[in-house]
Amino acid sequence: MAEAHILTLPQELLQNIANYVDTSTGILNLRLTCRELAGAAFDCFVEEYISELSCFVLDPRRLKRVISITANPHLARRIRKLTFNFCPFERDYYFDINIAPQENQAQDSAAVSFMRDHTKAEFEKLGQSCFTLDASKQTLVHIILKSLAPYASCAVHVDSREPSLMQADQHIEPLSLDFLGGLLNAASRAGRPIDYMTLTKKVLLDEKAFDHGGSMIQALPMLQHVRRFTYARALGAAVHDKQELSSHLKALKSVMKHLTFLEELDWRPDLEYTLKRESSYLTTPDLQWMPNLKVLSLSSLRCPYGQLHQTLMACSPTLTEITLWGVYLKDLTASCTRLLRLLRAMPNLQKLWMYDWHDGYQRLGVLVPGDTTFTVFDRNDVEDPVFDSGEFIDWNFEHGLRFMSVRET
Amino acid sequence: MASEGEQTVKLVSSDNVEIVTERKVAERSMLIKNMIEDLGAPGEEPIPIMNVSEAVLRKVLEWCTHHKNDPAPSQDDDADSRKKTTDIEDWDQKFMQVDQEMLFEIILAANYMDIKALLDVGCKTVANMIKGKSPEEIRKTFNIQNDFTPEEEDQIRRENEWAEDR
Repeated sequence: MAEAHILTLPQELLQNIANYVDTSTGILNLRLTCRELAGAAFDCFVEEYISELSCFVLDPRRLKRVISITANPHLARRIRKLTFNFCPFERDYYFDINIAPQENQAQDSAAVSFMRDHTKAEFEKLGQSCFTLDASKQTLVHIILKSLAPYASCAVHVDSREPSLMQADQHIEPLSLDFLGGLLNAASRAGRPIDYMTLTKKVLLDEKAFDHGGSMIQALPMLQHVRRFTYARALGAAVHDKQELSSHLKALKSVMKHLTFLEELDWRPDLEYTLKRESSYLTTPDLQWMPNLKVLSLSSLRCPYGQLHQTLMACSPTLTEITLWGVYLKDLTASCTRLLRLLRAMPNLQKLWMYDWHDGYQRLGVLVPGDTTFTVFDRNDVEDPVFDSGEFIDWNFEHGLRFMSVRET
Repeated sequence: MASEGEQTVKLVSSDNVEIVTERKVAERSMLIKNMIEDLGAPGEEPIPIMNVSEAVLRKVLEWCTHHKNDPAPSQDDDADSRKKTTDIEDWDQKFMQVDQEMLFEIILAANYMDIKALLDVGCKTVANMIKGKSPEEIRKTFNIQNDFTPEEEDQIRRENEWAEDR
């Protein structure tokens, strides 16, 4: 019998060993020892470094790095998620505070002091002044998307939010990131759709571009392929130019109209939009264009109950999961009772989460599974589901549904 | 009839040596546990451990004896071995202070006999031997030849650079 040696172990056991090797340098060094161990370390390497890629889309150097990876089929086919992000500070920030991106806890405290100690001028220097996806960057995006075209398992995400804890939004002007048209055009030419899209008020949306003959018209069909769309809050400066804001909101409405195969919608507009009378239609999104919508999350709602009712009715047959949070309704108790009756009638609804509902005077106490009375909802405990399932709602209706406000408790 | 705790089983190593041990000790191995359940009459029929020599089998049983009262692993323990700590308890560390040949024999035996906790200790021990070493040092530690072509090595170096530049 041959003497036992590391290379006499079967590949499965070598992979098991590689699972315990540190990913910061150990796995990279293991890959460079010999073919057998390189093979054993490959899955760990991919999981740590390749399966989820993210790049600042307005920096050609970052785009070229992703091209290097996607040009290699053995790596490209292992990418599960590619995110084009819009935060120029992310890498400099990590570099500056010398903390690996995966060490989340250390980031928490470091992020705060880093943001506090840097002036806006310094950020502008880091982030460059150009926030446009010009022709040369579009070409690079096109090359990446074309390389990914054969790999359906990879989700392409366009995300204009800042990475969590960056707190850098205040340093990027609202309506300053001009990329949507260029990106959709690049996707269209590459034949590789964008799967998820997250926009914020930082993104420049110009209604003229969506008008007949506008620059976005050609690219709009690509929006039909988006499966998950988020309109997210962005901290920082408010939009003071009413005309610009109005144009942004109208263009956003045009974007929404083309999301015809959307399956998930996460709607969290800035409060400054929802409070403006001229943009009241944006308080709740128009779901009539999204006949396949399954998962819906609405937040920061401030509207009459009838408007919320209509919104939900538009997709009631297909919805399987609903989250409603930060909801401000007049006559809270009556509205909630009507709402729950509507939800109960939805044929496919499986999960419902409701939290932080209020009417200015009282906050809603919530139902807990297996109880017919209400307990006070802990504002900080947002992970708790109010209701778990349609069955649970049915059960509670049968046992006498009743709301109790915090004040009453 | 002896209670389960007092029962013994006969194991036969690959080099045909019979070893008698407590049933509880032997049943740290899922292979043996399943065999006992299948055979039905523990202690009577010798159980062949075909891929494991006497010396290695005795070493494995030493580990099993020390850990015979450990709680059974839960389902969650199996779920994701990634990101697990490479900490090894003191007794196990001393137990694993053997030459490399024995270390890899123990790993192979733990795998064959289906003793997950021992397999994990073995793999962690090897991972700790890799920790902080350059490729050349890893090769030297385990007596490995560099069998890459220059092109293959370059390709991996480049991939590592792209990976690190995130």
